[in-house]
Formats: sequence, structure tokens, C-alpha cells
Amino acid sequence: MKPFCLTTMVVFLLFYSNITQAQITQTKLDQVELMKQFTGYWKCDIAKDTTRFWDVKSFGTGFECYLKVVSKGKVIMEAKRLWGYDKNIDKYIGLEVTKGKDMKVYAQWFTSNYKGEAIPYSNISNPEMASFKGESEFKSPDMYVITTIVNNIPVKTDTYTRIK
Amino acid sequence: MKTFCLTIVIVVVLLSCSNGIQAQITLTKLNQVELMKQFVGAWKSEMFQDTIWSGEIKSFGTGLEGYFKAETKGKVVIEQKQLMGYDKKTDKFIETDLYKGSGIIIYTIWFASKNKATELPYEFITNPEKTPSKWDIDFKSADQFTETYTQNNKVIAVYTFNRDKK
Repeated sequence: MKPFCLTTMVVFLLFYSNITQAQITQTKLDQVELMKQFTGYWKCDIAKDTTRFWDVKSFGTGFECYLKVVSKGKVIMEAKRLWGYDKNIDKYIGLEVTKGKDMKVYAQWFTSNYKGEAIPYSNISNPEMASFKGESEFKSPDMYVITTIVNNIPVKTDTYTRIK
Repeated sequence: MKTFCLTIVIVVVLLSCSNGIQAQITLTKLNQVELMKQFVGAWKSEMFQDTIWSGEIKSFGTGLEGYFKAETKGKVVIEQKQLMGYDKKTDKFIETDLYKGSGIIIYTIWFASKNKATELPYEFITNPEKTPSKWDIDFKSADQFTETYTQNNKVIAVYTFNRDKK
């Protein structure tokens, strides 16, 4: 009887191990594919008569982005961002240069098929310590929202809609 | 009278020295944003036999953006986009190089003198002496600079870039 129980247990463990492996495979997200959701030309109304436009173009597995804020027909802010995949950390890294401001480096990644996070690159080894965080969620292929979180408190939510 | 004179002499000497030191600090503080503008323009380098590396760097705010490609016998074999931004906290530039067909690499780059700059992997920004690899850039003139690639203190390659006056 004992050898039978042992055999049963081994079979069970092997079966359980396969299930665990399958779950790991399932939860491994393809960051390169998921980031492609951002490709396109987007707009976000941030105040009365003021709109942010966000142009994201593919370059290899990365993206080159141009952002401008237009108020009453006048460009009041411009920024460029280069996003690229870093396979060592399985995340995207983005350098942003805003005219008239200091540069910023971010790390960004998807946590599910439609939700992602962005934090300063300096916090990459301890994301929970980031005082600033952006959470993105695709509501549809043509709309996503970004929630800005400062010191664990959501401070604003921006809605981006696809122009093309 | 002697004490009074001595006091005046000491005060004058100290003030004079202090101004001299201040002037030296001001002189040695390099304007990284201005110096980086030396890269603006179109450049070309014969990196290997039959392989030409060419591209252009443009200003964007206090930063720079660039596009380069390597062509072997007229065929594009590498394409790269660059974006560089000034980080006032470190008084250095942060550079991202995005390659088609591979990922992104982050560097830090800064001028140590008017004509010479050093570029190394970003993770060594706080301890540059520990980097296993670095690029030393030397502007020989406004139209020419060299890049010396060193790995473990051994020079691996030297490339010469000339301004491409198309």
C-alpha cells in the first residue's frame, strides 16, 4: 500500500508542477507586443482650449514620440521621448526631453494585457519606493487613461483618444 | 600701528586669494549644454572596410536628437535613433540609443574640457572609474572628432568622424 501511495504522490507532484509551469507561461506578458497599443496619434483635453497631442511611431521594437500642448492655437509645450525595450529587465525605458525643462528617464511595463505602470528609472530596483507613478489602462484600442500618482495619492487622470 | 597694518595686509591678502579661487572655479565650470552643441550637424565615419556610419544630430531644447545608419556596400545594416537630455543634478547628459532590431542602451556623456568628452554606460554615472567600457571623444576641430573605444583599459577601436557637408 505504501509504495502505491508514494507513486500516486509523485504523479500528483508532476501534474501540479506542469500546472504551475503553465501558469507561469500564461502570465509572462509580451511587453513588445503590448506596447504597440500606444502607436498612433492621440489627443487629450487637459483644460479649456488646451489640448495635449501625442504622436507615437514605431522604430524597431521601440518608439519615437513627439508631444505638444496647444492652447488657443499656440504651441505652449513640446517634448520628445525615445522608448526602447530592455530585455534584461523586461521593461521599456524612455528618455523624455521637454523644451525648457530638465530631462527625465522612465521605466514602463504592462502588468496585464491592458494595464501598465511607469516610474522614474532611478526607482527601477525598488519600484515600491517611487514617489511618482503613472498607471495606464486601455479602455479600448482607441482610448486609454493615465492616472498620475504622487506619494501613493492619485492626483489626476488624463484620457487619451485616438485621432489616427 | 604695526598691528593695524598687519591686520589690513592679512585682510587684503585673504580677500585677494578668495577672489582668485572663486575666479578659478568659475573658469573650470564647463557649460555642458553649450559644449554638446558641437555634435550638431551631419557626420560621416568609415568605421570598417566598406562600412560607412553616417547621420545627423539636431538640437531639441537643451537636448539633442539624432539618427545614424551604417551602410555596407550601399545596403543599410544598422539604424539607430538617439535622444540626449541634460541632467542638471549630475551636470551630465543622459543619452539613449535605440537600435532597429535590438533594444535600447542608456549612456551618460559629459565634457571634461572644451574639446574632450567621455561616454560610458549609465549605471556607472556615480562611479565612472569602475566602468569596464567607455568612449573618449576628442574634437580635433569644429569639423572633426575622434571616438576611442576602451574596454578594460585596452583601446579596442578609434573612429574618426568628419562633418558631412553633403
